[in-house]
Amino acid sequence: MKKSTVTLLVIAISLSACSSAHKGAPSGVGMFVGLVKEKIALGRKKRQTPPAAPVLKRAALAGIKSTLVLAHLEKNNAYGALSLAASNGGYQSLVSADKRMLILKDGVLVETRGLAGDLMESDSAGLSAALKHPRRAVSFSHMRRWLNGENHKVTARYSCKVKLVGNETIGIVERKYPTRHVREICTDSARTFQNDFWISRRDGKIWQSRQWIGPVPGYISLQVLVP
Amino acid sequence: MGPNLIKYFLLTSRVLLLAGGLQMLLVGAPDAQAVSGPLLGTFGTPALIDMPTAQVVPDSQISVTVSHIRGISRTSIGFQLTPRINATIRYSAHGKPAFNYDRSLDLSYLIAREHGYLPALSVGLRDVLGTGWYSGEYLVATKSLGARVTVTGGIGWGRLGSYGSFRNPLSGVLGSGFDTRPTTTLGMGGIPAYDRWFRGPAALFGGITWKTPIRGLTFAAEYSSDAYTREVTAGILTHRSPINLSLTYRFRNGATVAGYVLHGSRIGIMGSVALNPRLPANASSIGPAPQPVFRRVDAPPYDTSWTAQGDAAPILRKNLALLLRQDGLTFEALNVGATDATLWFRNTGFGAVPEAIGRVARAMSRALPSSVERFTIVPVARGIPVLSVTLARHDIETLEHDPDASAKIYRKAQISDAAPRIPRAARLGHSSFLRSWSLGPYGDLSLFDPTNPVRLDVGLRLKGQYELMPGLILSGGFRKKLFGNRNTVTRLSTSVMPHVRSDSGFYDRQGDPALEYLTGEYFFRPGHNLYGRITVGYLEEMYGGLSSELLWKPVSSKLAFGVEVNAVRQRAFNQLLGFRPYSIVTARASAYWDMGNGFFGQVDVGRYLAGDYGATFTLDRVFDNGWKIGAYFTLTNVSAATFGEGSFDKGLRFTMPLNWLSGKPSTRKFSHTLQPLTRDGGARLDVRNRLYGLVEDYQGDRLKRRWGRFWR
Repeated sequence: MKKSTVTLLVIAISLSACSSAHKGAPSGVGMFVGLVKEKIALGRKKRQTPPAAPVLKRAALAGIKSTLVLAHLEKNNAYGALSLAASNGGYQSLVSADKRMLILKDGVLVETRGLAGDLMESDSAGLSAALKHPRRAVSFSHMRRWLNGENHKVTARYSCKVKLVGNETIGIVERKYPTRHVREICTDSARTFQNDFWISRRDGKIWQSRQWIGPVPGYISLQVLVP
Repeated sequence: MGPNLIKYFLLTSRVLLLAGGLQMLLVGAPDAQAVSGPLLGTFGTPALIDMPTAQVVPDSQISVTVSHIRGISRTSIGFQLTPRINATIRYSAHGKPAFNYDRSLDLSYLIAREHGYLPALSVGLRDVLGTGWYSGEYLVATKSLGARVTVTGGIGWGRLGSYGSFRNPLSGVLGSGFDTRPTTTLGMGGIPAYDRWFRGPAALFGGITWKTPIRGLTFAAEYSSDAYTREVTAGILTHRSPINLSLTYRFRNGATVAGYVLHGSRIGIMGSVALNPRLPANASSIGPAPQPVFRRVDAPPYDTSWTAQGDAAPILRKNLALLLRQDGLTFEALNVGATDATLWFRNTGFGAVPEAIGRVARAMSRALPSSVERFTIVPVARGIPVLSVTLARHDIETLEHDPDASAKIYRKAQISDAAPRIPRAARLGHSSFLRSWSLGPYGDLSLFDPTNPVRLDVGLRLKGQYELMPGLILSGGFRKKLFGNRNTVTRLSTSVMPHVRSDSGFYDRQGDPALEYLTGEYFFRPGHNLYGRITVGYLEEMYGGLSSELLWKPVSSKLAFGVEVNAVRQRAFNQLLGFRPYSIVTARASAYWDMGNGFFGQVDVGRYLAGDYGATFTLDRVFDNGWKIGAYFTLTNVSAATFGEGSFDKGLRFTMPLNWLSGKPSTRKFSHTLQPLTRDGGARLDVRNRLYGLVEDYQGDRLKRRWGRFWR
């Protein structure tokens, strides 16, 4: 390509933003340019040192009345604070500023929205019951459902057990919580995963957890900053 | 390399760049699932080097392969049509400088998978349609020995039976007619050369592959039964040995590069990239989370005094328009009473319609007064309602987080045809009309021209549309080329038929700037399950006039029928306002069949642009993420001799949804049709916004298959 044509191409691409469409509906080429930028940014981010966990002070949480949860997606090493957006039949929808959503039932992650490889549906009844009596080694089923690349539902049915790891005192933003550390171990023919829960010995509430979302997003760690 | 070959190689590399560069760029993303499968050979099919193996690539994988030795370049695009059937098209240049350009199609079928001690077994036809340069058939078995080694052995006919050949063993069974292989071309080429298949002398071939301890590096050796007779005669290469060797390196994203030694006299290079429509290229982000459902806190009986408030409905319309806009959807209208509400909207946001419907349901739960219990959601396409989904608000509230949420809400939803019209009073003024414009770059690609395999124009395009009243839309597209080589085709049409398509070179050369289209369209619903379209104006690049269409499509039916009548006149080569003398009335009756198993079939019968009569048969593989890959052919009452090279019209078409590539919500799609030859027989009008394409995503089966996205 001659230099002039390259210049023209650059002009053409920069013009691609011209349209009456409202934001969030980029043109084909505009989208493409965006992708390339994203890709470059991703490469840069990889070379940088990963961000350290945010340091929070209890004072900063003082004025917050509604539920606030700190989440850490291990795969991207991304941290986010999520606040309660809605509550429906015991299911809490927590939303981050960048519109990613986690749905918890009694502290158990049952759905995600806005992540690649979202956990679309799951069945937490067996787990919630087992967490209450971690010493009884009853096995229960745990169903999870995702969407594949063709928008078809993929269902996995795991056979699970919980076990008591021990009593641990955890710290969340300058506050100590005496907890029982309970682990759920699930297997099916294809894989094994484990979810860890730190349950308050005082009120039975899950203050901290590390839970598996699915094969694409992997594990997420949650800490309840404000109940 | 001579200058022509350099040019050819640069051009084929550009194809690779277009198809593969995309993949290299995007599939390398961290969340992408790598494509896999056996090694592809110099013909773009599973092979040792030149010799085929019985292995198959994963279902629906698309691969692009380029191989090159001095004097022979091949570019192949392969598609695994079903788990057992592979189709590969190829463009080859022979000679130095190239004196022959050849197009060919290969088909192979996996007879048996590898099982226990039994090898995989495949049968294949090379160059099924072409002029016979690569014509050959084979039966081949491949067995893996452990995780690193495969052994292949087979018998070939035609070109694959040209070295070390013996009398055709089939002639003992099927008669001595199988001893000789005809060399004449059927018709004007492009017709399955069934008269040659498995005839003439046969020969054995075989080889091994070995995955070396170096990760990704594979060694292959083969004994070839191809004597390269044509190439040796043409002085392209010397056949010193039947043994070929290669070393292939496979990258983590599935792309390969290889070097090989052919017949002891030439060193070659080869590369391939692959993608699979089933696996999204980019799953790194799939758009923001939806709004949570709002569960009513008050209990029945609900207060309905709000209905007496005069401005209640206008306020609700405004609020819902805002909520929908946050999801990238476009509000059209709302009819609301004490207990029922109907909302009309355009899906400007999501590739899967159920996702858009789910978002609207969530918005309605947030915006409407508690007494409204029944939500009817009606998607609108180009001004006409195309579907009606009625849901109970109670179900939306209680099923939001159910472990079987999507299956249960599907069972509760009433899916039916929509009422034909949107009540005028329900609209939110003109602001909901389809009115938009854009100025941006375009690329216009044409592949596989015999003398210039890749032709591309790049320039600027101005487009706009303006809805005057529901369904009545004025639109236009205007383009100015910046650079490209589409105008360099010097071949003049020698067609003996009316030049209805074959003068495309003149259009390419003189049509700059070009008025691509300038039309008035009217879309309407003449009755239950019926859709209508009338388009007037400059319809496409080469034709202007009137096009009218009627489609019958019940929402829950797998079948649809349509008729189309067009009265058109050929446009002037400069693609501005003028016309040429040629005019014609064309018509067709169409049947559409969504087979439900990932296949879609269409048959069109009627009169074509040159006044010829016949039928077009189309078969698409459709994916529920919006991908479509298909082929068509048209047979008309024009003889092969009159039609010219290729004997009848045929081609490939594909559609790629942009959200597959970007991972971001979008309804945009990229479509392309690959025609090996553009001739005048069986040519169709290329009018925009045909009805089936407008409504197909809103139909029962497709909705059901994508319903998992309702709660996304």
